[in-house]
Amino acid sequence: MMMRSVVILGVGMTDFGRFPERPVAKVGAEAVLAALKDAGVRWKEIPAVYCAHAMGRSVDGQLVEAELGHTGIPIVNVSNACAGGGTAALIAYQAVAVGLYDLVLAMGVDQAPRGPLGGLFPPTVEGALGIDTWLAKYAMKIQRAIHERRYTLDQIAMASVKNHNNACLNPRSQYKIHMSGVEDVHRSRVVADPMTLYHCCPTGDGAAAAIFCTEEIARRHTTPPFIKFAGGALTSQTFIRGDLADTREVTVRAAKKAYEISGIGPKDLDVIELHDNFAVSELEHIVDLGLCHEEEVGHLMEEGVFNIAGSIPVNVSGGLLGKGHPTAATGVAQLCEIVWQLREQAGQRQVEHPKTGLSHSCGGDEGMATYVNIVMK
Amino acid sequence: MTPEENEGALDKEPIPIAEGLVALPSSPIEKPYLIGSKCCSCGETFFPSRMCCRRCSSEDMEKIPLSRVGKLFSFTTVRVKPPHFIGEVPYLVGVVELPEGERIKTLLTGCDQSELEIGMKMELVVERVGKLKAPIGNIDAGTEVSGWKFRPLREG
Repeated sequence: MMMRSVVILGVGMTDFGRFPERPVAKVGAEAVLAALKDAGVRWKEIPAVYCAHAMGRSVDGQLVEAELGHTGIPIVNVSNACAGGGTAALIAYQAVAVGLYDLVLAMGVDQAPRGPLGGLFPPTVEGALGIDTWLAKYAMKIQRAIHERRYTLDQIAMASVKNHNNACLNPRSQYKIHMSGVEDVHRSRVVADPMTLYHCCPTGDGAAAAIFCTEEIARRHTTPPFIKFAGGALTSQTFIRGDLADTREVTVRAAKKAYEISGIGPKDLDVIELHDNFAVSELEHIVDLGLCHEEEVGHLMEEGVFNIAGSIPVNVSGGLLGKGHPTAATGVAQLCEIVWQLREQAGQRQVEHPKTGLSHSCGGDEGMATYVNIVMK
Repeated sequence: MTPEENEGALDKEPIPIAEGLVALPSSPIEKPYLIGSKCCSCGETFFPSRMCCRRCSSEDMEKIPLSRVGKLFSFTTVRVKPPHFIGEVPYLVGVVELPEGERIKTLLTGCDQSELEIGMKMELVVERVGKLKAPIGNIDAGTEVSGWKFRPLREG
């Protein structure tokens, strides 16, 4: 199939944090208005919306439309848990690429309750027994990683230190906690041995939006070089024995396919926003995305290779750990960061002259939904 | 609650948290086991039992008793109470790998975290977990329920 080139014309997001007093429609509308302003497009011109949300009602997209003014357009609400935002962005891109629309808006919006996720879902046998919790699964992942001598606890904690410090440079971040070293992570409250609170991303509220269009429309609003959505892929889990929230194999396959479609490989990437729901995930996913080998990732983390000034900058926005993780908003917020980086508008966290970027997240539990989306200038 | 009623509640044996997961012994010489399913097409084994094979999608599945002893694959002590958990924190939880290949998510019992080591042999027991806070399946809230747990195997 002939795929059209797709431009990311504008992006916008709210601050990430906690604002339970604000209706979800207003949170979403704030991000949409910011993206519209950035693109130089009016709400009335948007012919279709893909809206991701993991919490809330099943028509959150329509609630946002009601807030912005009824235009009667088709709105598709997208689920896929933490991968919802990336999924909405990917299908919005595909809709323009195949010629379904010339202009679309993708967004993600969520408001999450405090504490570990899961309280919103009906009780299950495994939930009642306490054997199906993310804290336990990721703590056990760490135990395995240390047992297999893949990473040290210090190397894992370093991902948290880096991302929290990056978040201090991002005005949109939920947390601005400066960390002086891994001791700050080790000293925080133990939630599931040996994992402490600062290994875990927060839940929270927020929204992000992005506007995609054809090159023809982009030329009416701006001048080249355009920032383009170069391609992406969505995967679910294949069979793996047991279940420790295996986000690795799904990531490997999504990345491989996204690299194939976009023609951009792991060595070509200048800025990476990946799924650091827990600190240990960052090391695993750096490897799974093909950015380096398993046996070197810990040492490269120690050497600062994944820092803003390093050769492979990872989660420069602060990631899920520092910037925050309003579930379905994350995938679209990652795109915002990459667009700002490629435009060189990222202020103190600006990477040196990036030309390409990648975003990645995994959503759900068994049968994990995972996307990899690639952007280029 | 009067002392008499309280005594009655304590005497009451907890019931399994759901049907079809564990087979309880019918005499003192028998031991409990987990009910799994085996794919008749590719041979993969699962717990809990399933309608279709996760590996090859075959619908030809048979119920089988699973091994009572496996190896500890990983473990942790959870110190934050999960939303629907019916027990108390902190509690020990782990994954036990059975000879059949399946890895069982499980509560751990009869030991201290310091005694645990990845790779050690663990055996199945069925014990009280707590009182249901909300109905699950056809079991009412407030019912004392039991679940599967593993403990270090004491040889001999």
